[in-house]
Amino acid sequence: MADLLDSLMNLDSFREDLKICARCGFCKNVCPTHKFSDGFEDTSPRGRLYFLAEYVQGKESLTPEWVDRLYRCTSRERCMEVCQTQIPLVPLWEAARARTVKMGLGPMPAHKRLRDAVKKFFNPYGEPLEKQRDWMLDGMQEAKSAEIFVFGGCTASYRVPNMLRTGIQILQKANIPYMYRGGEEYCCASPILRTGQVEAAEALIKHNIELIAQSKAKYVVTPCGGCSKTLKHDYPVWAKKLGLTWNVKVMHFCEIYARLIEEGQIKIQKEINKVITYHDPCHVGRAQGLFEEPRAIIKAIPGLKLLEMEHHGPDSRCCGAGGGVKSNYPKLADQICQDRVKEAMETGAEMLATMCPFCQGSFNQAVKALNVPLEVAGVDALLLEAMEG
Amino acid sequence: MADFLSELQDKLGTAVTADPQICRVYDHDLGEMPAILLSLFKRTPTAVVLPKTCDDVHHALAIAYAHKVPITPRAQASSGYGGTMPTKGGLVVDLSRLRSIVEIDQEKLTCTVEAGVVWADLEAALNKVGLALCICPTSGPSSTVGGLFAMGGMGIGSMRYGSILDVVTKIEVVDPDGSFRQVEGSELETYAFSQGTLGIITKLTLNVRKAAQILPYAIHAPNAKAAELLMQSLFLLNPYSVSAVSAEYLDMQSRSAKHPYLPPIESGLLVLAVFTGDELIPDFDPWLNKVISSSGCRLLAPEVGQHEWEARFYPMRIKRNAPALLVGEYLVDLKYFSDVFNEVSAKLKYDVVGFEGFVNRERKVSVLVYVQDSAEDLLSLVRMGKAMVPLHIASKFGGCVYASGLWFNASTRSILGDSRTKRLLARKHDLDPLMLMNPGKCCGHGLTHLPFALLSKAIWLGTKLITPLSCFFRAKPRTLAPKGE
Repeated sequence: MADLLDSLMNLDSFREDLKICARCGFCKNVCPTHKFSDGFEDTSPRGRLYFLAEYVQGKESLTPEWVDRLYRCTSRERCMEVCQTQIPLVPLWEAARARTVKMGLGPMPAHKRLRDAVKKFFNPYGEPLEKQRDWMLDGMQEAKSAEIFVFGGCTASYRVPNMLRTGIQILQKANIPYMYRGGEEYCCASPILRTGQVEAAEALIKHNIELIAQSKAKYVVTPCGGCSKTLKHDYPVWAKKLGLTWNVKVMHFCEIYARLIEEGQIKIQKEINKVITYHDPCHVGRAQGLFEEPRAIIKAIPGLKLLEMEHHGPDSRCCGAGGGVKSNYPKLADQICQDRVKEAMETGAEMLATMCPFCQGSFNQAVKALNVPLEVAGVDALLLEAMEG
Repeated sequence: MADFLSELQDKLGTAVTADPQICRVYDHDLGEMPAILLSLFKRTPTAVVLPKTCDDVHHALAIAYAHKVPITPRAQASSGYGGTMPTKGGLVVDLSRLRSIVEIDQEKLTCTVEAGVVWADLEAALNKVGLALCICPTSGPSSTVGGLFAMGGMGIGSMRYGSILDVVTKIEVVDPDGSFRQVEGSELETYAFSQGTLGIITKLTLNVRKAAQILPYAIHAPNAKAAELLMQSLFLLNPYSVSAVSAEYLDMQSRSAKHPYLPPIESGLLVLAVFTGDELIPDFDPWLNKVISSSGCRLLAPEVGQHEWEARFYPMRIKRNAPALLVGEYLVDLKYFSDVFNEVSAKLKYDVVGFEGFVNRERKVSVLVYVQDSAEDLLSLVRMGKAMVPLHIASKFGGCVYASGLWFNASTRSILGDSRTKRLLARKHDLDPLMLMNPGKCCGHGLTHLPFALLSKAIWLGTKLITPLSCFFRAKPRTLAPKGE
């Protein structure tokens, strides 16, 4: 019997799922990439499913055009939520992408560059490892031993450090020791796995599992939606395949904050009089079910008024960046992101808050491109401000 | 064909594709049919056009008709009757991008929308201004307003507001030659359920209602007769929607859910009676209790009603636990509901997965019968006869097929009646003498190789003959556990 990992990334293991598609099209109406495509049925999840069902039966061939269509998915997962027959669509796309890679037809050019960068520098941004700690402020000092291991993630470490920085500041203010191994941490492999490059992911995952195991931490905490999803869902499976131990509890920073607030370990000192709206990152919300935690944090800050967008919670729209779309289809990602910013503007809020550096980075660009008076921030930044008094 | 394509592309640019890979995705609808049946048609179009405006539809039709190219309109293809499946190749007009809500008139309680507007999107837009849909099909999260009018049908709310024909007050149609036409009043009857055989509907005006609190009540009926009595009596209370599902169906639904739960009933049927807070009759509660008890039924806990209401758009969820599923469907007078139910249950006692029925204000009930099987192997054609058993039985009680599409095109008269069918055919003759608009639907055979045969008559007779034989062939039930949990 094939092991679990092979089963998860093997298109053939989805044969039964491909058969049970009800063809209802509920997925088509919620797909962000279909919305901004040329609109033909082939760009919808339902169209891709039909193709894959035919392909596994040998009735269709994997052409370069179909490979391209398979990569036009942000892993939003809303399609999975609305699917009548609960087809695990995003894992299915990832398995299909893995097949394209295996056949030498995928991934897309930008994804190859990510892989090359990761192989050489251990992060997709091509930054040297020694720069991984550059985000740290004076006075930030990790413990040699602690229950919490902070996993920075590449986007937060090298590009959008606010949420990582704030996370550490909040932990320090709450007198919670943490470990951090900046300079040794490799990419979590999310962008590699999401783009079907399974083989390239192995070395990264193995390194991180060993690094975290050596620390003897109980919890791994990260500010990044993609990292937390991957560490939470993919790492246990990989650890099993690699014969390694993985017995840590993975948490997104919002889970820690909500818990600290509930336990009274975080003291709120001041009001923040702002009207905000909250964007549920796909990999934090739908992928991990973390809808209540960010809202609990917002609720705990006096003065904050939350205006929900039309699509929020499980129905939240996407920032457009996930699934390798931002890297290979930047225009498509921008369209999706700008659409979301417009939805945020419709609430009348002055600030768009989120809990993922990848989303935050995309929103910063979209707000600039649209030239709209909307502040973008992390919920954690508001929390820190309220703690500072 | 090359001239046609270049002219179309010159006019509509990237809204047109002749890419065989894309065209292939347009060769089917929701229904799964045996390959041998599908092979009778040229179901892959030569080209697809995706109009973004009503004028685009006008250009596409004018060019196609001038070149004598068959035209198949399609919105979301969320029906399983083959109505949006090409039979002679040609041009598919994909209307899914015609999705503007043109106007909502809060005083007149009407709205005007483009044909490709999805019901769920329209409901969301109406809710923002305190309004709501009168009816909505259970395919509402993807199906379109134009699609329901063209294919015909009813939905949630039909108990009070009737069918789509009763709700729509005006349509804009592009004739086969490309000219625009406004249709309203009694003429609407000719276009409703005509499946794009007279032209392509581009806009519709429909009645809406003021939004009100939804009050769903789940009621257990011990058997079909009690459910029938209850559904008849519920008319006294002015319900918004009334539907019924069998215990077997609920059992399958509960096991197929993302988080499986205990089904609310173990036998009989569950009737879901939905009322709206703004139209409750005086002394509603005592009357409801009286109606329920006099029918020999029992009111279930409020959360059951709420749960069933929330699950209203997910009838096909059961496919996860019954991947090989055929669906039979019929429309019959409510007074014969139990007779047909009991006969179908007896005849297909090893195969039926469940029943699901909706009542409309004409006291008719449309019933879906889910039958365990698949369209995959060589014997599928024989076993498929089972899916026709419910319709054959219903027809003995004056019932008919719910919609005609391609597979039941010979039944058009039984759905529309003589007078409407006559008007439809006369209009078809006037507007589309070349029979290019959606060939094979409502009228015309649509078959390439057997131009003399009417397919649906062959299906009807064939399945009548093979049904006794089909009962000897049972599909092996298959189950599929939820994934990703």
